[in-house]
Amino acid sequence: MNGRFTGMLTAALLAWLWAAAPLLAHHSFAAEFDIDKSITLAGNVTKVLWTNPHVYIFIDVKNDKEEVTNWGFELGGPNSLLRAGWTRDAVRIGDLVTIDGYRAKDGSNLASARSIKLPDGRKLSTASLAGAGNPTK
Amino acid sequence: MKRLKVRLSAICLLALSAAAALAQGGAGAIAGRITNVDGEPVRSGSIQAKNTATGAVYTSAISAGNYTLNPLPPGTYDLSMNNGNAFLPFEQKGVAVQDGGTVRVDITQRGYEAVGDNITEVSNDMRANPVPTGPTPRMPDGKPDFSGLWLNVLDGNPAPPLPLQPWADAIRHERVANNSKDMPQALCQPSSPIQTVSSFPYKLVQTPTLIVMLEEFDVAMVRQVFLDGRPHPDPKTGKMGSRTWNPSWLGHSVGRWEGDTLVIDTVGFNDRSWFMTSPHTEQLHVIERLRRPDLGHLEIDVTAEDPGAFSAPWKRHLIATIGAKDEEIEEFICNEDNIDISHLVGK
Repeated sequence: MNGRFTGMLTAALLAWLWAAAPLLAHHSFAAEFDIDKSITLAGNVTKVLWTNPHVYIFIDVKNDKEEVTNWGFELGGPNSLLRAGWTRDAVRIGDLVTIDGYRAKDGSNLASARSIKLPDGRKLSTASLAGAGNPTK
Repeated sequence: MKRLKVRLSAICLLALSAAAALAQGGAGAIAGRITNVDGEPVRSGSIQAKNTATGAVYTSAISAGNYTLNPLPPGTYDLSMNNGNAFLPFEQKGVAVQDGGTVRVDITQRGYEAVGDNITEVSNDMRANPVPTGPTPRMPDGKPDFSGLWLNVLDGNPAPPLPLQPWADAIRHERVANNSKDMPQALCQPSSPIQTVSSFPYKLVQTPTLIVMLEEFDVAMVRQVFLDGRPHPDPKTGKMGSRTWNPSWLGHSVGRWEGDTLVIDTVGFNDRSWFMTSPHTEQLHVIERLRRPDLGHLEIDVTAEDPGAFSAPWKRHLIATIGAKDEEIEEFICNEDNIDISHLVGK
């Protein structure tokens, strides 16, 4: 991990903490996710979809009975993530990560990711947390 | 809550009146205005104040963007508001209420309406820092050259509300109530008929007879602004020479110079895009007045009118700054993997 990346991640995290700016809508947050249903899950990464309009990270989550469920987390798009300091291999298949976010309203194993904690303890912003919707607003 | 941008625009304690000061077990109040990021009043919901000493909770309904928690026994209160999915929950702790006083707490409530890309992160990274200084670049003919990669400064500059005719306002309310599920950009269609009002970078490429606008978001499209003096399509027949105009998402744009100001006039829109969350008709007419006062800044005054849907013109003033030298418009192929669409639900 080069210094630029680390520095950018710090900046990204600070930006995430500041948040507050209007965000661009690709789709309506309220149409897909439930702000009243926050969720935090840990598991090993099984798939990374580094695609537009959103990046998705899938993880296998074990419950108390050792049953495994695969969950998908939606992030911002590749352009924003790159500009926030991510690279497409920042999260790799097999990594044990902890992701917090908001569950999908349709009951599927999908959530909007708010932050991702990596094995080394660093926390990544996801360039995705909702804010203000359509920028022409 | 850090994610909330809460503006305590004014906190003032009114002078205690002699009568109130003498009263035993007197009362004060907390009052203020609650608006969304557009500056529009929040129309419903409630706000609570919890007395930190007694635990007593007081509630006020929000009406036309106003609330008044009154009477409140003097003390310290934690203000909170949670109006469900439409908005982020709000908290403001330690509001001191004195006997006979009214504490004013105005709130800008942030919505959770959309998820996509965080423009704070984008703009922090992309903006030239510091913004370069220097004279306005000019074309060989002396006209200002608007070429460059631009980023609008939108934080702290919310759009004014759009004055709508009743039918259009009814549709807007219905859309919002339906979680804005059907917003065109969710289908990878343009998010707005006015592409200069963008959270994302756009690049202007200027020639003496044409400006091309490259947009990173939301679809891979190019907007053309003709500077060669051609007219708009005939408003009645749509004819322009031997061709007939097909109403389009971005319309037909022509530019003319008023001194150093470029006035871009656009008509010929289709009625499929959303103007914010509102509908518009094919009568939409947009004027963008562009100025480049110096090397690093672009100023845009937008006026939009639609006699079919708006009750008055909508105006917005924007300032953009030039992007960092190594910034470029990135590819954004929206329908590459648009798997959200199957998960969107309405009310």
